[in-house]
Amino acid sequence: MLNLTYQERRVILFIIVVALVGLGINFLSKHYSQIRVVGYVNQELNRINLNQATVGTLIDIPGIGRILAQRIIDYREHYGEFKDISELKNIKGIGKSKYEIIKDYFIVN
Amino acid sequence: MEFIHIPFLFLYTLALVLLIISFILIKHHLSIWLLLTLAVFSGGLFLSNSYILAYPHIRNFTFYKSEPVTIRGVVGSFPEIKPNSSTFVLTAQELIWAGKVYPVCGKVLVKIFRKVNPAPRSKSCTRLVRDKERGFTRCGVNISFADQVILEGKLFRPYQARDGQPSYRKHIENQGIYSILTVSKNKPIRYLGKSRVNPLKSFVYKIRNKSADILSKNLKSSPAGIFSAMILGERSKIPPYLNRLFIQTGTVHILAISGLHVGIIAFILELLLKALRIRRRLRYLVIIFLLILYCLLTGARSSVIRATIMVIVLLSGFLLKKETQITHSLSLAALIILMANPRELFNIGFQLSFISVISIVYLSPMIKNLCNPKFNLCNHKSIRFFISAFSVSLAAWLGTSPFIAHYFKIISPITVLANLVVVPYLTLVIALGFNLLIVGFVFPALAGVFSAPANLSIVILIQIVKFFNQIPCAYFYL
Repeated sequence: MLNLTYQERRVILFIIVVALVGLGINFLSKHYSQIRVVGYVNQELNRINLNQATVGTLIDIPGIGRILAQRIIDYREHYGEFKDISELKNIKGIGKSKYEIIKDYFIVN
Repeated sequence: MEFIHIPFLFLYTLALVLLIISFILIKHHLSIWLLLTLAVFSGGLFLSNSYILAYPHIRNFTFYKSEPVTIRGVVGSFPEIKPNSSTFVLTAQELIWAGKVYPVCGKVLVKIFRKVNPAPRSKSCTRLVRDKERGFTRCGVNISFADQVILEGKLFRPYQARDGQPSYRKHIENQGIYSILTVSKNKPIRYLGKSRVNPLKSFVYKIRNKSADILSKNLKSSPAGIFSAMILGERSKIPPYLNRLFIQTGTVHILAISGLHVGIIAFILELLLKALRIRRRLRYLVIIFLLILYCLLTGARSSVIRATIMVIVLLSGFLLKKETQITHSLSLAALIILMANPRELFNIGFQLSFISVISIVYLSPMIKNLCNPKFNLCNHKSIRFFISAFSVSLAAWLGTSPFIAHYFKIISPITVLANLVVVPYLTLVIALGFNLLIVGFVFPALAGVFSAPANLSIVILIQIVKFFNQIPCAYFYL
């Protein structure tokens, strides 16, 4: 049924050897891989500082329109700087659910 | 592996011992069997190796309690878009967890819960462009294949059925996906740019989007869903009750693109090109190229790959004036699919696709021989044709029913009869669908006219399947 010449057999054997070596290398590289830490992120970096925000930057946040942005600025001008993000809840138009949506975009310092 | 666990190193040493023996005995005439065993062993090793994950694999960052993480990666599949969510595979590159950045590898299934615009970026509104400068989009998401993105969400492992049943977790683990990332509505998606895309793939993606558009514009919702399953391989739009109907009558295979569809499409292409008076050799080459394109277009599932490879082998046999055997092309297809992903072996689609072809090749001649002596009296051409069709249908059912009974807990004897009617009819349906697509591409104004027969053909198809479904004892749930 199966008739391969000596040369063909050698070719097949060569291919199998290459495949086995490749598998071995692959296995070893997985086995000796390590979990590394390559850097640290300041998680506050890409958030907006509530005490320095302008209407323009606030509008870009999903859930905040022009009116609400203006109210936030007005609140800051009226009561002074934000000490905590939760102060946002005092503003008219920011309820519990809205606060949950937008709080991740801000920091206060 | 699926049922038993053999350590990789044990298998590897065994293979090495075999290798040394075959080196020594290579001149012996029996060494071919040794080589064959060795080849099987390396296949097993390949499978076993695919279960071993590197330490920085994203699965090792997936804890039982899902934690919010940020992942940077490349979109590795065409996003599957549903009304309120979209899913795609992300090849992870970096992961930020608790303020630390880890380089990771592996794939994640991403689910984004918000409206997604399937249209390419050029159509997007000016607001989107401005948002892209800022980093995230706001009026829906605009994600396409090979985008580099940063996503924020929660990682968790897919749920698993308690007993050894085929579960969703097993299913996606066999595709190399161990974790799911859910991105909720209010989390930002940052778009970093596009990584280098294979131009063929993006071309195919555009065609696929456009065709899906044409189908959904010109057809009613359920015919559009069925056509997009039968022609584009997108099964998510089929209403569940129809899906159940097709499963119960055992005709669900017409909704998943398989050898039948590829064969019909090759046939249609052959007729088309013949009408254009293209020479035979060139014609076959064009068909081979178009079939490969079609295979990519449908998302390259194993059944499509199998059928495409088999048709290509057949056609190149004609080209090279060599005879081809169906078993050879079948094994070549299996070899290629398993080399790409050895764990396809446990995929239900792979098993059903190959078992049906094997049983048609080996069982149907036997059944035909059983029938022939009895029906010798009425040796009419149409009856002979009926017998051969019946034996193919019966053979396919006999081969696949144990698997279907095991996986889906259903036995439907009506399959044999239903397929006798549905499969020939399918040729017409697919021809109508392709007709609509081609007209939609070339001459969109006329598409409305051509859509009516396509609609009608699907309505008739559903009625046929409903009829078979109502026959008593059509199916049993186990």
